[in-house]
Amino acid sequence: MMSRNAWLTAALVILALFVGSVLDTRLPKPDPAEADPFLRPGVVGQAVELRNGVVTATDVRVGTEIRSIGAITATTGRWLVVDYVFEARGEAQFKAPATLRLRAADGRLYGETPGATAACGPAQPGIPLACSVPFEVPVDAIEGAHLLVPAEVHIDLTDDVADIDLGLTAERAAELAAAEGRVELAEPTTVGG
Amino acid sequence: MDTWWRRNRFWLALLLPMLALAIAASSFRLVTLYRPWQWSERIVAGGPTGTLRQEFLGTDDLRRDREVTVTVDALAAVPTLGQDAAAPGATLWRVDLTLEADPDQILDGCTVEIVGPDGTRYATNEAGKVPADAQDPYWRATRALCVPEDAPGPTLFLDELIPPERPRPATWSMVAAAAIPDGVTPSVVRIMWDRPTYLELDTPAS
Repeated sequence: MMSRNAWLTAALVILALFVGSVLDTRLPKPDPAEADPFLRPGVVGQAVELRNGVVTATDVRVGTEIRSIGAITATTGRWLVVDYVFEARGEAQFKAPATLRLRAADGRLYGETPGATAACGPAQPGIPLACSVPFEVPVDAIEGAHLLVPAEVHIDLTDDVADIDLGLTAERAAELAAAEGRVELAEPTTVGG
Repeated sequence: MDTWWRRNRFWLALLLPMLALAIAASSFRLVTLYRPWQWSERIVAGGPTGTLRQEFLGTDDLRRDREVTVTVDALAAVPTLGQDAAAPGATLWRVDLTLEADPDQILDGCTVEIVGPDGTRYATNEAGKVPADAQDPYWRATRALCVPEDAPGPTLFLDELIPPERPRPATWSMVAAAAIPDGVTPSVVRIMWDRPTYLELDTPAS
């Protein structure tokens, strides 16, 4: 036969477990922070260090057509082309263009059109490689856009990701969006020392 | 005086080995997943000649033993090699290797790297290379072949072992080259087939 105190203790424990589990569902979890990539912030012209190389965005160009690997591709939006220099560290590296992303100010992510450009690499350590990556975006995605360059396969991995502010203020974005020309993309070329 | 520390001395002493055991137990992924997929097992030849021995899993799911002896005959800066030259600001380094292995060894598809004094590994693929003749529109960097082109020995194609048409000689030579930034003088060569084992060789001069 259980005493009154024992019943009370049991009820209190169950109540505490209930409150605890309700709180647990409401509180933010530590896991997402743990799985976040290591963002390395930078701006155009600034060398951003990754685990396996250094990436520097050098220029932003906008147009309604691109010419890349001999083919001309048009869009009803805009082509936003980022020119960048990549220098490998430690061993030869490869920047597959499909792994780069453009993040609009509101968080929308744009990937590269498959096959539009050659891969940036292999880049030999100490021999920088100049590459270009085109993103097809609507006009309203230009202002405040950032370039995301992962150290390896994807920007969602727990790994270094360069987060480069492309300096696209409202005026600069409007100025670029007004351009309706063709942007020429060169093949990856080494930058002479 | 029976203090808390004294009463719990057995458990306190056990804490350290248990901690070590917990760390060892959580190294499961490191040992079975990460390390076998990295170049983590180094064989230092300690001279220009060395032997690589490893067990590897072929694409046909069979485990085999590999044994190959490699000698670095020369490592030197050259202006060009075939149609390849180094990009501006870099020098082309050519490495000559002699390989020795039984004819039944599967040895196509190796990777050769030239290592700088700071441990930087320079690839011998097209990285940092440009055409020797700037006017050549069809240029593609030469791929180094690890086995004689006319007698490569047995090869694995998907899950099928293709026997050689004619036996591979017991010894043969190969050439590879890396574009290395000016001012860097390499003296170590790495050769590897399947992860995680690689062979590290010195050059004859060093």
